[in-house]
Amino acid sequence: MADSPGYIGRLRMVPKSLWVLVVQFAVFSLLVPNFFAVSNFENILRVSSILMLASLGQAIVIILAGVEFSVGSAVALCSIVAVFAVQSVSVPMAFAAGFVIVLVIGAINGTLIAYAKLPPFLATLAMLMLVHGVASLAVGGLPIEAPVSESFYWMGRGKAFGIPVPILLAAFGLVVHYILLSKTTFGRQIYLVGSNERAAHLSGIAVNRIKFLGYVAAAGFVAVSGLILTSRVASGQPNLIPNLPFETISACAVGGLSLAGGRGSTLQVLVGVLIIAMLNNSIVLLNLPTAFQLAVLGFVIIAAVVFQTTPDRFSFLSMRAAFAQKTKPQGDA
Amino acid sequence: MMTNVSTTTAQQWSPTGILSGAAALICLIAASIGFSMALPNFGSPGNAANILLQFGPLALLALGQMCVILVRGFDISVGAVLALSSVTAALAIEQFGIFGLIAAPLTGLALGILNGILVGLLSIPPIIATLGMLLFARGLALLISNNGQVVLVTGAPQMQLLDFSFGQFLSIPYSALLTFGVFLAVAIFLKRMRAGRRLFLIGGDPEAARLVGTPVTRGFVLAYGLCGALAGLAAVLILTKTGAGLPTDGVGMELNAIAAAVIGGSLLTGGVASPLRVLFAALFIQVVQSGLSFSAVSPYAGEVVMGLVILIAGLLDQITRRKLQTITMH
Repeated sequence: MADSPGYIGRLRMVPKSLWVLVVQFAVFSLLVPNFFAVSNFENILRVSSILMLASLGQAIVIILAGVEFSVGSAVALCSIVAVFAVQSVSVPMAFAAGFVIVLVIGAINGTLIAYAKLPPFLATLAMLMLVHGVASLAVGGLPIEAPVSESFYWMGRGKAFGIPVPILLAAFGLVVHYILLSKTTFGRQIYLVGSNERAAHLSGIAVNRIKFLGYVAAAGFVAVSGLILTSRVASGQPNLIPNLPFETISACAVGGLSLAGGRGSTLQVLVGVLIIAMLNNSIVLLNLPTAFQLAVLGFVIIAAVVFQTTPDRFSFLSMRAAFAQKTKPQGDA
Repeated sequence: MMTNVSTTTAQQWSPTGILSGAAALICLIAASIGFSMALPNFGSPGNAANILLQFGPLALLALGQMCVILVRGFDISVGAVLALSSVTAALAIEQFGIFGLIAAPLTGLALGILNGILVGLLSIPPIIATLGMLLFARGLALLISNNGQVVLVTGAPQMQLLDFSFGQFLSIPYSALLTFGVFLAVAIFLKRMRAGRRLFLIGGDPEAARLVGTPVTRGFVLAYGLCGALAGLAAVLILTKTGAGLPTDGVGMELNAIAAAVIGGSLLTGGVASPLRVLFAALFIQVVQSGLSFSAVSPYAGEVVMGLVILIAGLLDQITRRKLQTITMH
């Protein structure tokens, strides 16, 4: 990153995905009825808060050159633990239990990847199945309902200062995420470990610890998103949101994060989530069937990524080569 | 070029490779013996035939997954491609009779080639390309099936499908024979034919492969096309079993398929593929699922077992690799 970018340099630093968002916003405002309305904006933000917080977590892992597939299962187990716990303890304690269980899953992922050196894909895929299996076993595969209580609903459906609580939490999450990644030593170390693990190690960074803590920090964001969803649906479900890992990864990719790691900003995650959220919202406003929503979303994800990667067409392959270099066993002649 | 070919060949025969390959077979044998001893009727020939009848779709999906993992990718669209293929084939059978069945592998092949173009030519990361395809194929399957309704095959073709499903040769179901045949064909293609061998080169080091003039993009299209076509073949097996196109089927199957490929010794860093081990892994998963349903344990325990097996296989692989390193260093 340049130290003092000029005017053009500054303009170049604006993520490409932001232009996509601006154009999309203008087009939807003109063409989609009822899109340009404060109530609709509030609706988009409220609905997208869950994806936002989970994607913020996913972004940390992606910047670490990893990937996290178990977020959907973790959120599902979070909902089940919270609903089980609320039957015997107060709502805040129950939510704390749900929060902690996601952190535990994050810590297991972190241990497997940082210390046991398993590939992130493999470890989190195994955890996806393992945690989903445990969640399903705990409730026999069927949803369990939370007892009716205003305080349980507050996080997902309530308002504070006239603003829906999920939006406030997502905004808070964005601020924390930005400070964590851009203003703290830990955050800068995450970028270095993600872009070049060996260089990070040689410059004295405790690579394993950064990786481990990165997965735990990511789990913190995912946990909040899980609690919002739990509160909104007021039940514990093993199949609460199975596509969450894919949705968060695509939100990050659409926002412009490189899946090779080492690059990406909070702003890009925000933009990626909003692009997907506005798209889903417009499809609902236009009253198109869900089938359309899926097909269009698939097309847009690919188009957005193609748009951002076209100039360096083969960067992906050279990235893979670099990755192979990095993961080659050391000491090998 | 020669060095590259020999390193990839050496990789396959490295001790770690043999260990992770044996892992699938050991798991299969252990699970079969364990369940047979614990459950009185599990070891019967009838149940063995039943397992063979059911393992086809997962095995074919896992085989396709192995092909794309070989070139350092993976394909999470196979479940949705399977669903779409089964619907297009069911619709084609309505129109053209039983020969419409060929629409399934053709649909899969087309979508797979599209995946290959996205990954190979446009350099889109596999997870994004195949996620886009997952959403697209699922959406299309719902659209052409009147919003997710089952497309029933009626009349004479239905009987022909069911005849195939119940047919046996030496008490091995036709579907299992077809699966074994496909595995053999893919194995011969990968190990004995030039285009197949090239995939190992590409997976071992795509940049080097490009430098020595290997058609890398074509290799990606080939691997993903094969994966899609195999998903289409899996749809054929499902069609013969159920006699209907199922637009909402196959959800989550991509994960089981990837798991089977990984248990079958595929390394996500590419360059390794063994159809035989993947066959064992798919059989193992089917044995575990069948055994759990026999023993009235919740089927969800199967997922826990699979997760644990992946973790243990990965850890064992890691430990042996570290052992090897210390040996070579001293």
